[in-house]
Amino acid sequence: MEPEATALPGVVTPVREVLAVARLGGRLFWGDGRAVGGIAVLSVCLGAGLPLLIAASLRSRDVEVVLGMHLGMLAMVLTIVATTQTAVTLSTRRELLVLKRLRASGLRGRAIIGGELVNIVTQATLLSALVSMILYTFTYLPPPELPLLFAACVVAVAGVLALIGVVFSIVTRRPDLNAPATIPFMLASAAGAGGYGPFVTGLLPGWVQWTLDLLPTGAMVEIARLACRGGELTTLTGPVLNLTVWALLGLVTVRFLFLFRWDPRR
Amino acid sequence: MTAIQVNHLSKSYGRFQAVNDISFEVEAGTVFALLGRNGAGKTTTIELLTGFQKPDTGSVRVLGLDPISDRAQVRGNVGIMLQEAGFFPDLTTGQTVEIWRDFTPAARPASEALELAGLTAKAKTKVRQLSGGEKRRLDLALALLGRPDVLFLDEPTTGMDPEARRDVWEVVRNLAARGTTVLLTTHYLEEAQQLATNLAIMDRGEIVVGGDMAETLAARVGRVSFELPSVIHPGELPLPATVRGRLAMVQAADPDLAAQTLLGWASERGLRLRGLEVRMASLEDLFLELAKNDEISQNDAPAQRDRGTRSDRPARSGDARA
Repeated sequence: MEPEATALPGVVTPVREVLAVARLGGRLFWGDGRAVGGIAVLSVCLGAGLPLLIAASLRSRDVEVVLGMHLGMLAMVLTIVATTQTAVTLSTRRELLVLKRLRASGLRGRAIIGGELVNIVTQATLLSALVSMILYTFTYLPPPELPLLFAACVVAVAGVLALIGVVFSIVTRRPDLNAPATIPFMLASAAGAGGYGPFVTGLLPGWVQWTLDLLPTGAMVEIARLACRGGELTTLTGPVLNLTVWALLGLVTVRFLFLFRWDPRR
Repeated sequence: MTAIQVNHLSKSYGRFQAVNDISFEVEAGTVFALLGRNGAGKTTTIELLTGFQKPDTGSVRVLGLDPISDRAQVRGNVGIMLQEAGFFPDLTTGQTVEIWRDFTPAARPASEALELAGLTAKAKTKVRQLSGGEKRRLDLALALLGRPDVLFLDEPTTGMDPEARRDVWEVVRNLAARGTTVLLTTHYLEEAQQLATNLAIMDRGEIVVGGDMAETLAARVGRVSFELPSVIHPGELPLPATVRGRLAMVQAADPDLAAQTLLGWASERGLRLRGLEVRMASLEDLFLELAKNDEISQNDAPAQRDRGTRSDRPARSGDARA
């Protein structure tokens, strides 16, 4: 019993810190009408709007095409909400010296970044759920056959994309440049995931498509498609490995290659 | 008991030597003032003491712990009021303190922290609407949340009006009386003189004067100034004086005694010493003296300065100890 009693606070404190930072981030985001409005409207318009239009314009029911659009646009929404927002949020807070103050309060660095990631992943998951529910309600797209796998996939991909957002915030330190800097990544992710529709996807040379499939959003499409249509889970080895590699790359980059800066002067 | 111990601490940024081989100690329950001009190295020293920066050489102990390797323990027992740190502008003052309570183990109630900092009336005001002085008070409220054993205050009253400044002094005095160790930096020399029992004056990363506040000031000369009566020649005065225009100034280790001598001498001659002013040595005098010495040394020995030699500084003393 004794080892547990002494070990517990060591585990609880970091978790408590991560949750406290996540709660703070959530409070700031959900309490900001303009931020919620902007990101929610953009996400819903992109994530649900285009698949709705495609579904409505098709002469015959084509679940595959609508599902492809849904997953492609979901990849774009996740990239905007997770990668871009993480990069902009962390850079802005660094510039405002808020990260420095959070550090002064005694919080560990990993608790601050971890808490922000938890907050962003929560936002991304909720918005993905909203977008998906709209499509399941207003189109003939059926709900996923494996909803838990679908949810787990969204959470995992959002986490990896948010981690990539942390890397962007390190590489592009200026908050005014963070959003533009993530645009190429967002466009590439959406193109690879089929967000521009089957016509554009069909135009991509094979090697380009192969390369874009290596992005985390490529893995997301594969896992989410299986969650929607059902199938053998053993086929997910590749995509899961892909996400694991991206997560490790992100962690190593944040932890070892670049020193995360808490103070814009340093 | 020593709360803060600094041994031969150095820190440079590229070729700029921000802190150069400083040593001092601060006893628990005392207020220690770290003074110096802009760029003297005060803030870097505080950042080294609080674990924000890693020293190049030397060591730091806060409550017997290393602020870098024992960061979590140190941060749990210290309160830090940074010179520059931001807030979330759209939160209210009360919300900010409430949120910070989540990060602070065994935190004071938010109302108590706000009251200590004199911000109760501003609890519902958004941070973006606070004045500079009010933001410093919010800074203080956050620093005090965890009932710290050691409090680092980096220019705590900058931007405050005189009344607010005196309120903060009262808070600092009360904390020190209850055993909190306070290390403060300030540009207000009166503030340091009012609060601190010990001091170190830094210049270009080095401690040039340090020790007990009263002893340091006692070692300085005070001055007596007055308007020289028109019928008197400076050579007739009972004490050596410098005269500029009609203003005579006598420097003395005991300015009260000098004033008595001058008044007695004037009385014997039926003279009146108009505008008589007696000034004990103050930190301001000390500061001005150091600045003057520095100016002289810069003019006299540019080559030495280029090599970083500081041996020509007459007012410097060794290590500071509280």
